[in-house]
Amino acid sequence: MNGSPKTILKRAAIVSLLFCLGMIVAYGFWLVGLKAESDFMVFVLAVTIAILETGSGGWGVLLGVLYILAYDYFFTMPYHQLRIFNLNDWVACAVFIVVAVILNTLTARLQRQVGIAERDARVLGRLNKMSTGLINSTSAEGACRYSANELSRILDRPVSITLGEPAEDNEAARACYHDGYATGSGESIYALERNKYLPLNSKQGTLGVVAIDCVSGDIDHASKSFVNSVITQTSIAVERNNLEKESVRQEVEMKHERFKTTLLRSISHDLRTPLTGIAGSAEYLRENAETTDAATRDKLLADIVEDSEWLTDMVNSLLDMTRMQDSGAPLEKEPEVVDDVIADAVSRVARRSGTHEISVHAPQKVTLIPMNGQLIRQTLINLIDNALKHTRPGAHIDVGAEQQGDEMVFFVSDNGGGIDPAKLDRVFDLFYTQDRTPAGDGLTSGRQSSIGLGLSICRSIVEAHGGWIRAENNDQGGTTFSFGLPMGQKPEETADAPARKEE
Amino acid sequence: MLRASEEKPVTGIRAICGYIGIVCMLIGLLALVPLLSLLRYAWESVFAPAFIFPGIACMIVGYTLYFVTIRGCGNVELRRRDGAAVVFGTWVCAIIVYALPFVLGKQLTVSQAVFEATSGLTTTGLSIVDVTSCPNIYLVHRTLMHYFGGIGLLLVLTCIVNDTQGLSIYHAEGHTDRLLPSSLKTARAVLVIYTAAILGGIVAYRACSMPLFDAFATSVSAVSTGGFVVDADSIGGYHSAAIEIVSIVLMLVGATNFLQNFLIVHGRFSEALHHEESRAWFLTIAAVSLIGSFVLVAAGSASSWGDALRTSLFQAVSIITTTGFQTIPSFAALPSTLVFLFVLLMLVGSEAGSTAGGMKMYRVLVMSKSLVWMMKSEFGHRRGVRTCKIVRFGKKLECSREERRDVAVFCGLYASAFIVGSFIFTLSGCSFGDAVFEFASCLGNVGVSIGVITPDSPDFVLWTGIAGMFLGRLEIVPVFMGAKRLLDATREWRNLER
Repeated sequence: MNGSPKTILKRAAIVSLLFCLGMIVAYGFWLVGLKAESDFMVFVLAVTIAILETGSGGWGVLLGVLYILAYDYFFTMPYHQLRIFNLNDWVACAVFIVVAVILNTLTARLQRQVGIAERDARVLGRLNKMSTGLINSTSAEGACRYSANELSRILDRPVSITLGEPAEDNEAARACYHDGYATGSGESIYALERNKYLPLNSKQGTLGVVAIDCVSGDIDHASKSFVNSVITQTSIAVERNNLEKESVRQEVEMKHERFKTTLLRSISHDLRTPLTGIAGSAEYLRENAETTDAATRDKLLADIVEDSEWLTDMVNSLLDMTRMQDSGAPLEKEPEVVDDVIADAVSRVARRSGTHEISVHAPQKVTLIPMNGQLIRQTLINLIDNALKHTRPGAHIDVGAEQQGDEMVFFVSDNGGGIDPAKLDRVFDLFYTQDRTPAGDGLTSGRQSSIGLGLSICRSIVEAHGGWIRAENNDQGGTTFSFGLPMGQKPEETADAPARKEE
Repeated sequence: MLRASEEKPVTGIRAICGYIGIVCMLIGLLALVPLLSLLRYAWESVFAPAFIFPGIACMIVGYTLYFVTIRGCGNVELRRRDGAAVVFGTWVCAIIVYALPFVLGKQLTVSQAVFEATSGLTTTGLSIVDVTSCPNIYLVHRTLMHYFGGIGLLLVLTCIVNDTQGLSIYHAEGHTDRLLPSSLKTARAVLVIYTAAILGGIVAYRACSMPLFDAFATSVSAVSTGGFVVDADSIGGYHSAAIEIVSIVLMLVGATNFLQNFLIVHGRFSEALHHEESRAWFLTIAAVSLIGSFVLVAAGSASSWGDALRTSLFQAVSIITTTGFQTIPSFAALPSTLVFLFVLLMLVGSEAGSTAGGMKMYRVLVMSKSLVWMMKSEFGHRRGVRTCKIVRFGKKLECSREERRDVAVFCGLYASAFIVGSFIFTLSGCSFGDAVFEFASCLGNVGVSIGVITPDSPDFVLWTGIAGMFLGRLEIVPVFMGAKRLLDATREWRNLER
């Protein structure tokens, strides 16, 4: 009979009460003239109640013995002596004892079973809840944290789950991790440790280690199976999360591969054309150096220069593109004067403008905004180039910028024909051109056609600045390309603007 | 691993039966207490089985009920009306179990036994038993019924069972004041006050040279405002002014709100005495005593002013506290003015939240104040804003519309019951005044008799009386609510089973 003094006192009180009641009943029966059998039936009932309420078979048997003794003393002949004359009474006593013992065992066992069944039902409920929680985990660490919290709460002691190799100084944990079986308190090795270490095992090996604080004693047997179920579920969840991560990574790789293939396919065609031109012209000049007149010679040389410039531009564009795609390096921004950037870009393009007219609308105040000057110049050049290539000759192109709210909006507008509205939002796509599908099967390729990278480069550059870019048809019968860049900190405005000089 | 309160709660008929089971165990145990008197009066052991069998049987049935329904369930919830159902069920069980000893011991017929048991538990005090020839064990039994009924069987339960449900049941019985933050502490405090007063009373009576047994019985009877006595002539039989004074004090203590007693004991006099109900109460007592003495002197029934005042005061206190002690030979011989006044006192009753019965002074106060307020708002200044306030325990509390409505409804129900009951009494052939007096005594749990209820009364008179006492003690509404809830719960259980 173990238990705190309070429990013992409580049980003793219950047994005493039942004893007194039983005796009162015996007294009443005796007065009325009922025989011993009736008394023993009541005693059996009382003993059963005693076992149920005290939860212990021992107390029940004690009550039974007390009953027998008291009954023998008070109510059987000879009265007030512990001897029994009547055979009837002997038999009744004996049977009572046997019945009491059997009942006692049965009841105790039943109580235990009921307790076990109830506990199992609860455990099942808990496990179910945990599975649901683990399914919703978004990362391996998250799943581990969730399981560790739940285990801590249920076992009422600190629990932690770590993934990967444990720290250098924790030998028991490392042993668990590397060998894949339990170590620590209560296990066969490192039994003197404070914690118990259990491995998170999976098909790929040990994923991590579960550390359970056992300073207040080992976990009880019933909890052990629960803990094992939880660990298995956690391993599954961790594995699942890892596989997910792997699959995402592979998808990204695949996308890169696809991009590179498309790129190669596209440029191979475009590179060949100008190279053919250069080779042809150079070959002709070499073979016919004396027989060619100055004018033809100049023309051919000019063609070679033009083609090689075209090649250079293209290679530069490609490099920019790949740099944009691969860049993990942050963009270098510096405050640059908007006016200067625009003027610079326009002057570079001026050579190629041909019959087009380009005019500049600069902002009123001299404003500085943080940007990568070279890239923004490139953007503007691309946009103007685009306008030059895709509008009718003689069209007018406006280039400028103005402040709208906390953004500086640059624009390149033309009145040269506009773009089919259905295709407006696809112009910035990779390899999109007006005269050729992206896959590049066109048989026509002149020097005027582009590789389709220009606008997508613009978009990448602008988006890397944290801005936006769009194209829309304007009311002059042409298209306006505009992009906005955040002004960042308040732009420094200098009162006395240095005089701008046309370069 | 799971905390018990995470399980689905047990409610409805199961919970109700479970609690009834627990209380039945207690009822059964308490029914055995009179057996202690056998230690002194051993020759009465022939009656012992009459107590043992009902008591033990009740305990066994109670335990079985408890075992089958809620034993082992960690989360038992009593919903809104379930408390009333538990109260109803336990009172019915208690009455049956406490009536059985009379029947089994061949003292009374069934109807008479139920009457006596109801009278004891509801602390009415109307008695059919002939106290001169009644065995002592039964006298003890009656006295104990007063003790347990006075504070409510369920209060005792609350003390033993550490349960928050206890308080809802306690309130469902009609006690509404909260002494202390914890319901358990409240219950225990009430029990302590109650028992201490009784013990003090015993000592005081002994000092007035009353026999010990009489002192015990009378003290319990006085503090519980019951009225069972062990002398055939009630208190008058002792012919002692000292005893009468002690009785008056004990009766007043019993009929005072428990919270007030608690405050007085703890020295918080200002809170205790700033209580409108008490003021009205004492005023009423004083007024009736004075008028009564006038009437007695005028009618020539009393020999002197002092005598008249003494009689008048005692009876006024006895009746308004719904105790029922008598110092006069018979109420039938009184002038009808006095009888009329006494009927009024019986209807009014004493303070709410005490052991006394009647409509309760609080309700009467609210009703009369409502009348005044209504008059004022009808005929007073149109735009005046009035809030209706009553001073309780030193605080001015607002009397809300709902409360006034509830009080009015209760008074209406009370009046209806009164009318119906008195009518039935008249069917037994007694006079109008007698019928009214007697039924008022039943309904208000007073216990003075003008002669309608005797050991020879027909059964229907007894059962009307039983109904009156039962309704009065439980304050009418819980009876119907409880019965209906029990019926509903049984029906829903049968539907579930199907």
